[in-house]
Amino acid sequence: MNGQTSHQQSKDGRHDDDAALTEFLASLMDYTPTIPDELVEHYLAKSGFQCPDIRLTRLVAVATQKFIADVATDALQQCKARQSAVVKDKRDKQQKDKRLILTMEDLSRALREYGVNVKHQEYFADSPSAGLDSVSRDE
Amino acid sequence: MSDGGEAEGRRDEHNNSIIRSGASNYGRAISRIAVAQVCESIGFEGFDESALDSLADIVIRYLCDLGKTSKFYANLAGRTECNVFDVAQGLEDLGMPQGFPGASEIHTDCVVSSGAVREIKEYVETAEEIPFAQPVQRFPERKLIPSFLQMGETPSSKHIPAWLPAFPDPHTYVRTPVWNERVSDPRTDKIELARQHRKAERSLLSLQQRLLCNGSSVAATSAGPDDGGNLVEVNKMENPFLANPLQAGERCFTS
Repeated sequence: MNGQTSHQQSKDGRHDDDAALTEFLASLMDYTPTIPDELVEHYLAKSGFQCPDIRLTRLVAVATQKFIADVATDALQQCKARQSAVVKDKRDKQQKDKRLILTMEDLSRALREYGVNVKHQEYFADSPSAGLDSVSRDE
Repeated sequence: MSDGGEAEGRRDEHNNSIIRSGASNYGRAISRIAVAQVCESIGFEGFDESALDSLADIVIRYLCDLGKTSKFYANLAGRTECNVFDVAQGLEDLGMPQGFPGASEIHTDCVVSSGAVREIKEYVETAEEIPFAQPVQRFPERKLIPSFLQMGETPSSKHIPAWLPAFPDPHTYVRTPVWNERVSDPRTDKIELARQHRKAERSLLSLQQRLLCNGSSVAATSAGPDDGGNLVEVNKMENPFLANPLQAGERCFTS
């Protein structure tokens, strides 16, 4: 008995879910994602994803756009935090960057939470002994 | 296919710089623009080149990973074509490291109530729409060789099905001897060659003479400007473009 009622409920629930799903996919078609469909289709085709339905491509594009937006928001917060920290020290220096620029440092910190390890070389030296003191260089 | 091979090669060797094909450069450039647009809407006013390039590269990898994961779930269910449930499960997989609400209730019957899809729904409702800046063509362009049926030909042998691409025309691969129609006489050839040499020498000589004449005329007038009236002529002469035009018959040009 209990099994039957729960089965009945799950059936109704599934019907509602289907309606919600189709509604969601229809709403996707209204929204134009920033990433063009052709680009998404190219890379999905390269990785073996095969689907003639354009709503799925849009879903993937929107998901990727959300990912970029999340990463960018985190990076922006890092950038703003750094700017406010600097301004506190030197109030006279008004010429501190008012413009918010996406730098490699902010990006790598923001991406670390997403499990992406982006390490940027701080400087490049032309020989292994560059920057060492003269004693060791002579050797 | 060569494209598939290249993609796999790139995934295996992340650090090596492989010669990039045209399609990948184009895709990278487009993804750069899209990423820049999204970041601009978030609030950034400027970008570091390397940061933008890295983020564009990461976006492309995210796309490929999502495609791969969805394909994996579709194959697991015994299908070759993906559907929305595969994509939703792929999204949940990719969202695991950060966590999303409802992560403990994944793999339920309903897809729409799953956390990852719910977050996307919220994003679609709240975020503003930024269409891509320029129209994008379908890429990569593929030149399709028409099949036998399309060409209206029948294949030469029975073992070749008609829906395969047609063979090229016979004149492109059958070697036919080419006969030289012109009769070559070595004597007349030598005479012609000598005549052309003489012509070249003559025109060179005449050019040299002309240059010398111009140079000497400039030198002669600038040597001694006695009258005031001559000064005007001197100024004119120094600039060869403003020199007095030649009178008819003053100098004859030999061809």
